[in-house]
Amino acid sequence: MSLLELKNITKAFPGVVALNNVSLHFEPGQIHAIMGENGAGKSTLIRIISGAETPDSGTISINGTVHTSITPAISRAAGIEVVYQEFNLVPGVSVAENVFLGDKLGGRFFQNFKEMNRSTAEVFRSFGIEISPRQSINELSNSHKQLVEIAKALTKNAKILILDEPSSALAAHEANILLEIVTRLRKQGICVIYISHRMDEIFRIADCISVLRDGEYIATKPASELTRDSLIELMVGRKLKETYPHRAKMSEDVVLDVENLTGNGVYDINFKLHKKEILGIAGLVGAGRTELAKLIYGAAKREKGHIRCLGKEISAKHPVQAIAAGIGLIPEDRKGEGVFLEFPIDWNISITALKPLSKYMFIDRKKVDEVSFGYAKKLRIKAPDLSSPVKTLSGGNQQKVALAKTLAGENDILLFDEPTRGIDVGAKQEIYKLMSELTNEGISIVMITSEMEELMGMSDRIIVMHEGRISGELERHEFSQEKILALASGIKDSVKMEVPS
Amino acid sequence: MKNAANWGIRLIKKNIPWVVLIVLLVVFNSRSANFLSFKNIYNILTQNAYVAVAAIGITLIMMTGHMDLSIGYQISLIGILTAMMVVAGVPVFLCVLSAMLMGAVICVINCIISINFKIPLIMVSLGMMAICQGVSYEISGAYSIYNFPHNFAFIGQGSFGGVVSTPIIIATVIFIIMSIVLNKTYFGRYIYMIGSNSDAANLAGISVNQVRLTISAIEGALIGLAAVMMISRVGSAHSSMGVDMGFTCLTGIMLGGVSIRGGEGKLSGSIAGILILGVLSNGMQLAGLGIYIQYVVKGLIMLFAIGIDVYMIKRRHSHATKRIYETESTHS
Repeated sequence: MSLLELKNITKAFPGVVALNNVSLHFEPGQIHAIMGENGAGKSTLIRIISGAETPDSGTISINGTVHTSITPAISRAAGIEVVYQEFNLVPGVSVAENVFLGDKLGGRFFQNFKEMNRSTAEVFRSFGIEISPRQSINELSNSHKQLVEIAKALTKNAKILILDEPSSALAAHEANILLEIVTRLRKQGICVIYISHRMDEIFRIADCISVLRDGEYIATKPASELTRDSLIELMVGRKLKETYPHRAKMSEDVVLDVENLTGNGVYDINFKLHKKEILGIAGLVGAGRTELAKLIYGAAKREKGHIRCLGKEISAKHPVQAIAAGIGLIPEDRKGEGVFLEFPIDWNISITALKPLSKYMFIDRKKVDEVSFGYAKKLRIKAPDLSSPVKTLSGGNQQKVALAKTLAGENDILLFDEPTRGIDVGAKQEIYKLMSELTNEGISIVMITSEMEELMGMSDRIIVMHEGRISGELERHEFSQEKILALASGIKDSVKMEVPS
Repeated sequence: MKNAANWGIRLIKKNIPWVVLIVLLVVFNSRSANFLSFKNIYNILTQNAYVAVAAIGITLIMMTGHMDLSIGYQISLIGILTAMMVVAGVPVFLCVLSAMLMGAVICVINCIISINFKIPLIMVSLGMMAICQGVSYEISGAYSIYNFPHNFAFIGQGSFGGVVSTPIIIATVIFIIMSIVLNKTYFGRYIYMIGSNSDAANLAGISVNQVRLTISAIEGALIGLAAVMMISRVGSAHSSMGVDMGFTCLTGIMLGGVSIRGGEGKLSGSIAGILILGVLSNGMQLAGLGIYIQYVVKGLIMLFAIGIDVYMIKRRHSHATKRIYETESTHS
């Protein structure tokens, strides 16, 4: 009997099947890694195990008790604890108080601080780490904060500990401490479900590895039977099925030249963008791609480096300057940053160009209408009329509004952050078609995307980022899913072998 | 026929504060015969004109999603300083100008602190409120300042042939100018967009901070003007004067349909909100209710206005997500 067993779990969200018929089981005293690309369904899986999400079908059995869905309370009671990527700590109070957050120790009115401190110290002693329970949480380093999170889970008698990207905020030596403690937990008979993009960590500690891809369960194998290459193959082994529009050849003229750009969590970025080119930027979540786009666009503070746009140096302290230089951004977070949901479509489309469309501060309604209708028609925005609020549109059409808004600024360079996130297949094809039309007209595009297919289908060149730096660059003839994922995971050796010199 | 009915319903829905105001007028008129007399209406309008001027300024701030609590004591301080200048014989137009300048400076300082240290304006203005209060009392020594020259009194007490008072004219002119700015210029559009989504506005190339500073200056100038109108109308200045006006303004603006979250509302709504409060307090006075009970009623109205606002935000939110969900699921 397994400690935790998932059988035929399916969960669909509007427009996407996050998990399709996934079965997995977890045993005590095991470190079980779950691997998969962005959007493979790992997060949904965790949310289902922790009771935050109800599966559409399938069963979850805990210690032999079969549930069709579980609540967070049931999950907790069964000893399942999740440590999320972001810290869930209360700043300003002591380590011990954080460890016992939500638990009552002591009498009816007063906390038993002595007991709290004692058992906290005990947990850390078992980790082999010196952290004073009386210390304020603010004084701790990131790795120690992570350990407090783990201690918090353990004092609740965790039998299954889920660690979601626990090392992403940690430096290498800090991660080492964490890995050591995770191996200790295994000895104590705890089942650790470990989710990480860092392959070297996975191979150091995991007993077995399960792979998910696009919501499908692919395989579970003992770590000893896998190599990095075979694991990557399992993760990406899909066939490219969509078709991408044919595009004119890019020219050799450089329109955007980024040199040693540093700031906002990215370091020493160098690349050139050519006219009519689509330059794909690949990387795992948190690799710094969106941060890079915001930095180029002037929406974040630059520490050093140069950006030359059409040969002219731009300071880009604010998006105003980037727009004036001819750079436009279509943000990743459409609803939060891309469109104004409450306002009419024409207000949205014209906002970037509103100043030039005005005479002595007064908005020229006729010109605004012309521009809005023009772009709505060009981008085939489907709406009853342009005065309806953007929130009434479908995701695909909202994205087109965000695109129209940026295009109305008449930019030569577009930074496209996740252009097709959350929109359906038909709308995706339309966006691809638009992108190719735009490049044919002479516009150059930097495209950040987590979707391997569109990355390889649309890009002329691909830059891969890993932990805030560029880890490699691939020309069209070198494109392969394996290479991209290897670079994105920070594995350089295996790539060196494959890339012809 | 049906079209006309629909049009009527939409008109009412768009102008609920005005409908409420009319209902109030009818109710009070039925209780006291001379409520709707020319004199009483003239009084209500004149009494509330300076409140409306300040409220127009604060409406701009609230439309961008911020909140200024220092209004009341700003008025108190500017009132005292201006009164001293007036009594010292400084020409009237210079007094008005300097009052508007003082207001602008105070509000811009608030805004600069809020932007540079990334503190919500509501907290900064709370500090500024205490500062203004202290300075106001320190300067005046809690004494009244009076004996204004006759030409100064015209601003608050004058009238054109007894038909329309100077304060009504000033408020109307300000209202018309600011309505044009809000509805016809790109600057006005920016204010709405920033209130709706400040991050998106920034990424769309709007200098959000510049816009915020500019409307702070406008807000301050209007508060300064309101302070002048107030002391001129009363004929004296005291540090305790105008203090509860901040509260009245915010309540009126929220009653008028400006959301505390920003991004929506109309100036005409704010005016209606201020008039609703004015009519209520006038009506309560005529009905013989004491001033303290009036505070209780105003407090209840404020809570009511916030409650309605939050309810509308919630409803709109669930509505929006539902509709998006529907359109998306029909695609897939």
